[in-house]
Amino acid sequence: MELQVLPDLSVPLERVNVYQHTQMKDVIGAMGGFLTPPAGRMDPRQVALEFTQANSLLIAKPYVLDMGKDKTTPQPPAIVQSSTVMRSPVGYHVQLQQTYEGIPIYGGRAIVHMTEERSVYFVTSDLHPDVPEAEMGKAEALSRQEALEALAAELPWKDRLQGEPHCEKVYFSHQGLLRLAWCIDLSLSPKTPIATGEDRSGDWRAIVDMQSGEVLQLLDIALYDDPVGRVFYPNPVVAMKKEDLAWNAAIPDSAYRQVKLSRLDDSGYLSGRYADTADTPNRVLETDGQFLYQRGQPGFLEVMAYYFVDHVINWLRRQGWPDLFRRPLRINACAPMGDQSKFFPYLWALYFGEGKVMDAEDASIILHELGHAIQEAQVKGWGVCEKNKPVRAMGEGFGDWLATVFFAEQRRTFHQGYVGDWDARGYKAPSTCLRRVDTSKTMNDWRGEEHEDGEIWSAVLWDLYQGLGGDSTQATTRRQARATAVKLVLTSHQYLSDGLRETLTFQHGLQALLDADRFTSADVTKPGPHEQLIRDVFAARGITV
Amino acid sequence: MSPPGDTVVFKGPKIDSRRIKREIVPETGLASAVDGFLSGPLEGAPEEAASKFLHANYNLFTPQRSTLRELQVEQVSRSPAGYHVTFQQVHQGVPVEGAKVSVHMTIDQRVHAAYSRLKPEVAGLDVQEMAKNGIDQAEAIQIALASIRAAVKLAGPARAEQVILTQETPRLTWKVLLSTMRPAQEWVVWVDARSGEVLQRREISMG
Repeated sequence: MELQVLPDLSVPLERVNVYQHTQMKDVIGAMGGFLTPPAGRMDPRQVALEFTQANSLLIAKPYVLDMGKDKTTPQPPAIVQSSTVMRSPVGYHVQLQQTYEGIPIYGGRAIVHMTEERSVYFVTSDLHPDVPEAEMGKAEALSRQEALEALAAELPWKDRLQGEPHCEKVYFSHQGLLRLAWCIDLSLSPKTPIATGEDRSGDWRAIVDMQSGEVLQLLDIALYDDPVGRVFYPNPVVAMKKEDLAWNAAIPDSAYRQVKLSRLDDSGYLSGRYADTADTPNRVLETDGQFLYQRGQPGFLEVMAYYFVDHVINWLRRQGWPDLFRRPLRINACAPMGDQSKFFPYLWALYFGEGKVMDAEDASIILHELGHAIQEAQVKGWGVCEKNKPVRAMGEGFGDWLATVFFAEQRRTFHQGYVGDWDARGYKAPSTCLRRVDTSKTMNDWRGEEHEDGEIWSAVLWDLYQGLGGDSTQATTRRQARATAVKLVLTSHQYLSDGLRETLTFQHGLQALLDADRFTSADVTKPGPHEQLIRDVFAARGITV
Repeated sequence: MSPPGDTVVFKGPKIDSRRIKREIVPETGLASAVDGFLSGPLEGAPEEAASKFLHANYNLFTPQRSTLRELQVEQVSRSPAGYHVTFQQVHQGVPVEGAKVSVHMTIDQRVHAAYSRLKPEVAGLDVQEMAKNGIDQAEAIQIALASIRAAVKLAGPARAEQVILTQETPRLTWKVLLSTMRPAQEWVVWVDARSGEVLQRREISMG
């Protein structure tokens, strides 16, 4: 196709190739065959917005992009800020999200493709031409929890949630009208350790009308050809709630969970977007995607390590960390290095050690090590300093805290606050656990050893989670507390990017959390909403600023 | 920590330096941390916005504007708070160890904090002169390997790059990165690029 070079951003209709791929009446789905002038170093998002403004007649009905200037007509749906910018070898690809009164219109998107020099050459559009019915769905709107209750009648989700449901207000096109609705994404565990075709486990998306509670759409978004594996979630001690479980005990099927292995490439190995077990000796190859092993079988450790690294990083992506891992973390699931596991920042690798209980059999060990990688991804060279400095103790404490807070629901009534409670069964002198995050340690207990001192840091973070609602009897409150705590703690790491790692202290960590609280709040000119709680939990451990 | 309600909001990238909170490095009089303010929303990609801020307020962090020309973007992170951009100082093509500046912005790209460890004192160094009659990369790796006394099996190829180490007297060094299998460790060793002396070692793996 010959590209027509245009003098400005305005594209004459007769000079473009138009593709009517959309099903929406009067809307052009895609167009190309032109090239707008280069825009130098202008922000690609700004180029995309200006392009859509200049060509509103081509992309959608005029009022879609008219921003509601005419007060005599209903305020139309409008494009607001670009939502994402992707970079490719060709250039930039800016996705625009259509919204109405700040709420996204489901499926209302356009993507503006431009060269490295910001010359627009192609546009795809699914912008929605409908105007929401006046006040539709606004009266007596259902809360998030009420919508979930309404959904339960069609999709029994209670006691089967894997992770927190993601709920977002949207306008949804239904029978020619845009209705205000909850878009709910949730993942359900199987009813039995091995899923059957009828138990509706997997990933679902539901659209629930905010006024009537009617389920407008229910989509099974799981891919049935996806690879599957078996894991401990997080480990047999917790799954069986068995205090005296011996390292060599037979583990029943009920202690396993079948999980979907996501984001794998097509190689047949456990190699994907966020994790790659390539460093594991004799790695398993399953071309049919059935990675269904038990403890002691080749491949089980690999599945554990792959699944939890991928699962947690993808969960964090949904919590507001879209690009944490830009390359897969290398994994050796059974490294010959004794009963210890390590993160290697230069290799960008996690190595899990041996023992009567192999380290990768315990997901809390995997998450602890993953915590180091997360910090390195956030702040390059997080732990590059002398051993046992506070910044390294913060790393150890964060890893322990991540390992417990992530599994807080599974541990709510048994071994709450424990790390490595399966791994420790295999120690030379078997122990209840490796470490705990709910100790009474304060700064007076400082020992100058990063793991021991990390228990002060993890205890502070655990208190923070509890204070945010982690100790509530309501599951929804606990999940919200976990999400808020993770948001604050990970954001605080960004404020610890100081080049001189040796000088960072727990006081800097406290200040970073206060900054994170403030700058993730609605009004950044005031102290954050949790300032007093943060100060209190730190002061209780002898840390103040 | 900023007391309630004292954040000052500015219109553009230039802030009123009398009205901000800062931590000063006593030896240099330069700021190591500034906060308690918000710039106006800055246009462009986050790294461009951060760069605009630094250029408008360079005198907080360095006596010479030319230092800013030596900054390379090291990392741009997105968080629920906004954007965080870290720059690495590079002198005559050689990174200055630990010399970074980070700029923190809200979602709408208003700068609210910056932390700096820039080393303007390297401005007078002549890297080519410092490298004369020195050791090469392969020699540096061998020296580093010997220094960790490991009958080692490397987990991957060693890597070495030149960096300027500024502790006490600035020195041109080879920064050698080594991953060993037995024992399972990862080392950073700084070797003087002229004399071959091991200046510093750090075991950086975390367990």
